[in-house]
Amino acid sequence: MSTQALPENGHPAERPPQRLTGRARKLGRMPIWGPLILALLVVGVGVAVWLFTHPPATGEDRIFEVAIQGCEEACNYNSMQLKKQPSQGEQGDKSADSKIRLWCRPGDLLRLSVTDGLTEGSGSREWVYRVKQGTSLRCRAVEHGLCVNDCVVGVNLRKDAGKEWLGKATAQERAALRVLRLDDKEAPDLELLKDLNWPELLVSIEGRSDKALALVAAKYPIHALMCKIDNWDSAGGSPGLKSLRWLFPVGNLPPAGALDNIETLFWGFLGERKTKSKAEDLAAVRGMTRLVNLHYPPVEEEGNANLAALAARPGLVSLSVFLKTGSDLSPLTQLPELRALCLFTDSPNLEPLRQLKKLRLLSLPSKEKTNLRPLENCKSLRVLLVSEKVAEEQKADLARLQQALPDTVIDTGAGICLGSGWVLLMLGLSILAGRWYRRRCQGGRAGA
Amino acid sequence: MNAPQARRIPWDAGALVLSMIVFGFGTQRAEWRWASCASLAVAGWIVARWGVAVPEAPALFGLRLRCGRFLPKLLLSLAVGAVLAIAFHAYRGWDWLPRGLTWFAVIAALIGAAEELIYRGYVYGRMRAWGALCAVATAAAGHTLYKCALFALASSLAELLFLAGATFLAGLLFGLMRERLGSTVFPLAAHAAFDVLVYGAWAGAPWWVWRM
Repeated sequence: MSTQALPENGHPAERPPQRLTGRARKLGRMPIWGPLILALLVVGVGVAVWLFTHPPATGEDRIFEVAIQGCEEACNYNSMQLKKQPSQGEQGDKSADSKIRLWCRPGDLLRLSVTDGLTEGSGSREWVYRVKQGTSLRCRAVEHGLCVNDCVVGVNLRKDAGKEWLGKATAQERAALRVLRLDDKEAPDLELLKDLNWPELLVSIEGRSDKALALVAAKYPIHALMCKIDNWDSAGGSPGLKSLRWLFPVGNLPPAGALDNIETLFWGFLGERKTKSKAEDLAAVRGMTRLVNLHYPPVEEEGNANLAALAARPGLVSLSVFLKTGSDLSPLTQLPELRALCLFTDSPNLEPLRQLKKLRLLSLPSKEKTNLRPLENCKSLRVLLVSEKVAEEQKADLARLQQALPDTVIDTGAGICLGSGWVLLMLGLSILAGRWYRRRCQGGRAGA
Repeated sequence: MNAPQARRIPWDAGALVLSMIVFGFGTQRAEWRWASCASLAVAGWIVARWGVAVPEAPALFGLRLRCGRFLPKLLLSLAVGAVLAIAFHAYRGWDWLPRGLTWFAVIAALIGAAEELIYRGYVYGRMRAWGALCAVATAAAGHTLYKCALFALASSLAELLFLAGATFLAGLLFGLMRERLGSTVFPLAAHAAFDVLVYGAWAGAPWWVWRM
């Protein structure tokens, strides 16, 4: 069929191909670039509007996700959100390559369990790191301490390699240190510890650490401390402890009034039971007038804390607490500043949480079915952590809650998946690809 | 020759509907994300290869702007979308109209428009050779199955039945709009108006949109 036989107003594809030159070729490209530029403009305006209407939250209100690599397990101290690496293989070999994701607030301290494959006695497993931004952390244990994002942030003075490294460290390396692990059996060389960035440094002393702590605190200001102390008399009065803000004691609490500047108290690791202090004894906590973050340990065999007494701290911003099943949560309404709450209890009645107008993060590790309806009125909630079992059994409840709280991320540990919005990406790419393919075919025909 | 060629079995439309269902269902679980991703890619390939790249693409998608009484028809479509949105609000027990709009209104409108291009555009366009009724019903059914797949594991049976019924009826209405008003622009406008009024006041995308 000759081209002359085609009707003049035939379909463009049926017309003989024409070579476009100069301005006509330029115009021929317009149908692709025009919509593309328009789409970019729309997206750009949308992003600009979003940025103007949603300024980044600051301070305590901000909650971000931290991806941690190279850890066997990680724990957020304030919300007690514990995540472990998924085990691989029947032998339970754990790969440190996969990521652990934790929800954090600025200034949260993370406990990182990092191993380099040595025995547990190597002293390179447990480290603490304070997050300032929602960045990814790549952790790696080295002979002398801990590296995060290829920067040495922790030094282990229980090892000769640690002492040697610190002795040779430059001023910049010393300033970058965030964790200092001391030996409880050997008096620390105080000269080695000079010029460290003490306001940012967490001092960790394993074992019975009264004497080592007394020595260091006599000369340097300690702002964050992790220790195991039975007798506070020897160290409690040290001038260096007056500046203490973060305290993670394993064992007894300091006597009431001894350390009143403490802002964060993470009392007692899980599994730690041998302590002379009783969890009901809140005298020391009452004295801490600046306390904003509190983790309260489970009371032996009772599994219940005196919530009414804990709630006597109206400035509390973060609370994690173990409670009996069916405990009354109404004392929490006396904590108007509460932003992060972790409730270790089964099937709690969440009705009082409606009154917490600033609650941003709620962690419910319970595996029992929980009535989530009261949370539908918690409009400030940004992150809700529920166990996988609850997520599995209460899908409809969680979907309804999500409808009521579209801004809230409900983290069930399920990971990343796609959503209906990805159709936009698919359609955009399809239009571009289809048009490119069509032009290519037309070009091929024109060439032939 | 043209008639039999036009009435060929629209396997590409069927494959598109199926891949969208698999995509929707795959969004439910993180471990299915690769299947979801792959089916979305297949859907995209079908739209690109047999939709956008073919010479009859404008007629297939029905994006005609030059049809008689365009403005009145457009206003009518927007009104249809608004009425559907108000009905949905009433069913949910919300205020009849949203109090203000956020940036997400733009995304919501785009997502609604994208769904219309796929179902009232491509699927309807391919099925039209088999008759208007078949085209309208197939497009509505495909859209309904996709929506149900998207919420299958996150909704109760009663909610799924409501979703299926509402989506199918709205799909029939949108299909009729394309058939009678002569362009996909009108159901697209109605769907976009519906999404803007239902989701436009939300401060962010709900969980089923990005799932990140």
